[in-house]
Amino acid sequence: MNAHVDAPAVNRWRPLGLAAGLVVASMALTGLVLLPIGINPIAAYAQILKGAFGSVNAVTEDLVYATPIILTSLSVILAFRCGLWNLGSDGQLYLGAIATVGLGFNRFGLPGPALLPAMAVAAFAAGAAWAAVPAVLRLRFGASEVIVTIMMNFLAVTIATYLVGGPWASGITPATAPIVPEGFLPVLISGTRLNANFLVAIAAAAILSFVLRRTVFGYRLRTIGQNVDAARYAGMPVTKIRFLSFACAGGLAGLAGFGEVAGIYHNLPNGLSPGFGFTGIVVALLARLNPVWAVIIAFALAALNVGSGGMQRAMGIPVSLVSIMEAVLILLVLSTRMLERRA
Amino acid sequence: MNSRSPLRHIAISEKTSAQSWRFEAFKVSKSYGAVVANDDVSVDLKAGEIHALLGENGAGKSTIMKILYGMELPDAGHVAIDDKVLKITSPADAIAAGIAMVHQHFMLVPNLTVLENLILGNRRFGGILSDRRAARAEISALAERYRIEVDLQKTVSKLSVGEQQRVEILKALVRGARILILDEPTAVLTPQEIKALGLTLRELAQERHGIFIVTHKLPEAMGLSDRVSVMRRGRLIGTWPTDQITSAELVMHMVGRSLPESVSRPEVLPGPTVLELRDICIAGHAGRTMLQNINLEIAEGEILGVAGVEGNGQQELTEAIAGLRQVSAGDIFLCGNVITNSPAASILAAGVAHIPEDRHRDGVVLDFSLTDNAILVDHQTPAFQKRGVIDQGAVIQFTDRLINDYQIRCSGREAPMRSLSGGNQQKLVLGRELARRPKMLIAVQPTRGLDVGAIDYVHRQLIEQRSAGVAILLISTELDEIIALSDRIVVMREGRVTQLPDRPSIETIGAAMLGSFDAPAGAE
Repeated sequence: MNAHVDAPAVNRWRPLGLAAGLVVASMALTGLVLLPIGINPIAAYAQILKGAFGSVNAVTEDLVYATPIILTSLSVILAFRCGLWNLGSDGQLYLGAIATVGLGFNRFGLPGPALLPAMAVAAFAAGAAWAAVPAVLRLRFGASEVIVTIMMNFLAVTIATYLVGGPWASGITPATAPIVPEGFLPVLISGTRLNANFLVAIAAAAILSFVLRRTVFGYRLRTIGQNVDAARYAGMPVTKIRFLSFACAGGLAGLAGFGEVAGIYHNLPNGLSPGFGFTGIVVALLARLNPVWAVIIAFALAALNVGSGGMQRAMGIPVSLVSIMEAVLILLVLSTRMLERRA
Repeated sequence: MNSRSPLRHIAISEKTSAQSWRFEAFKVSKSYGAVVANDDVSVDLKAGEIHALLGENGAGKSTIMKILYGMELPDAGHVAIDDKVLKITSPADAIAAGIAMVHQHFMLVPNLTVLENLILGNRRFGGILSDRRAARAEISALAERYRIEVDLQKTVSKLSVGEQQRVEILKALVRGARILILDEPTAVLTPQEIKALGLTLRELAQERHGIFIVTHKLPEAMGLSDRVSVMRRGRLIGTWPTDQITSAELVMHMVGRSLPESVSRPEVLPGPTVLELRDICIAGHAGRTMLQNINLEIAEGEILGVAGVEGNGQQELTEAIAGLRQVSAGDIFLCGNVITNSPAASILAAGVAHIPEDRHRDGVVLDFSLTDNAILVDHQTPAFQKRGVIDQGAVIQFTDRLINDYQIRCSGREAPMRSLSGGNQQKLVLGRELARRPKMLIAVQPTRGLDVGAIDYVHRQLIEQRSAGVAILLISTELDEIIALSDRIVVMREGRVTQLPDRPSIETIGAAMLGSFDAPAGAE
């Protein structure tokens, strides 16, 4: 099984240890912010834990929150593994959501059972098409995909906002009209919001892990990411593989949008993504580009977010505390990376 | 003024300009892991002298210059001026001590003007509110004095490469450098620019500056320098006054004769032609041609040795054959089939194996394990994959076989390539390529960076392949290697191939490398 251990993961448990250490450090640092305003940080963190794991509903909410983050982090990982930065998974997520909702309330005569799969495929394709633009600009014309993907995020949000407020407006809430019930993703545990897209995300992680470690395509992709000259020397079709990877990365983010629409909201609300794409980048980096670890770390970050809601209700501490904690965490991650590079 | 160093700003003060000094690296050694880049190197520079440091890529000349400039610290030995040991731990220290480096890739800010570049970061001209007029007057005077023609108002990005180099030299002088280190200064210049550079350097030397020129080009070293030193495989071979040594002698020193004994070559009757190049041309930048009408033939069981000083088109030739570079005219045949400008993958599949010159860049993925590196080229063949899924068992078996057969020293098949020594990395590349049972093997500098034992091993393997009927194109700057292994020898120079008679003498090859074989009158 371990035949294809990738170089960054010399020690298999290292990502988790590192992540745990960084979380503790960021909690300690955030605690320094709480102390002067007379709040016991230990009590606050206890409330976060309670909010995240205190009930079945809390745990399922963690998973609900983790689902899109898993998919966007996989999207980042897939692109990064072949040497490209995908900072546009948020935009690709929006495109996936737009495609889902467009198909979900228009139907186009699709029979009931075919509707959900069609919506998923459309979401994947829309995300992939959105990612294909920066991919082509990079691979053919050398434009930085970092910049193009970021810019296209704004474009995607703007398109969604336009659709929500204009042609697809429902007239009541700042959201589009709802999709038809045949397009709802099945709920896994009744009474909760946990839906089948969670399984899609887990499957995607498993598939990506397998593809990267065991297949010819994954081998080529990793070679290109590690040493593009060696890949060319070995006759690999570098541009083609990079394009496919980047498009698939967009598709994965598109699936996150699909899940949010078909599994949670059943329409496209304004401000669908609270930055799932960017959280995905953090998760990908913390997981050291390993898809399996991405699932675990996405869950941890989701629990932190969900738990902070509980903390706010119980203690009146604003949720933004968690934003501070996450920001500190990101800074710590980046600085550890730099230290490692220097070592 | 700040006077941390005796040499600071001497260039701008008239009265000290006749001062004599001696700058030296004394018994310097430096290793990078298992690679010995410098082994007990001592080299010196006197006031008013131009000293060329000559050697092939990887001979260690860049390393010694980096040590002199504080970019690297020596493992042993030291740098001194007038027998006083200098503590140079960074380029800032070097600049303070009056040492400046003109890099091969210029370190200028392209969207600033020449003047802005020259006063950038130089405290003497003030910080943010610099006195530009005073600075311009001073710098113009300096430029005029050394006949460095450059427009101070021009934006750097609009300058030619030669002009940018002049700005770099001027920058060194403005900072008060007495010692200039020029890294491959002529690599990107036109012949006219080289001539102008020569005049400027001569002018500087007359003003008691000292100049190191690092180069692998013989004619430039001969034309520009007062003394010349040759480095080879990390060692200083010797230092001579330029007018007391011939180009031919220098070539001998550069390519060396260090091999223990030549491997025995059994008689093999060459079979049918495997590779044929007909009138291959490759166009370079700005109308230059990288390769011009190359005609070559290699038969089964034959080693064709391509000798030549590095950078004369050898890399372009291999890339053209391997499908990594587009050919602008001509045809390449492999076993009678045209493979000109075919994709690299199909050329590899047709039976070409390639030991690349730059192992770290092309031949291996340093962060991959040995198993992943073992299948770099053949990962898509049925032996290693079924329906797109890599057959782990087969890969492990294959890697273990390579480790065993080629005695690759490693901590295991999962060890990252990076952890292996250069010789062991090369053994894996060699084993991997030979396991493909090629019809045609391109071996470029196959023993570069290897120790004597590993060199011998690689040579035996190549001879064995020749006996097995493989056509081998051996490209090397090591003349001994070429002579020991090749059935036929050609020389590459300035993108052309010179055919040589059978069993040429080392002198004949040397003459062809200098371009004076066909027309002895035009020797450089």
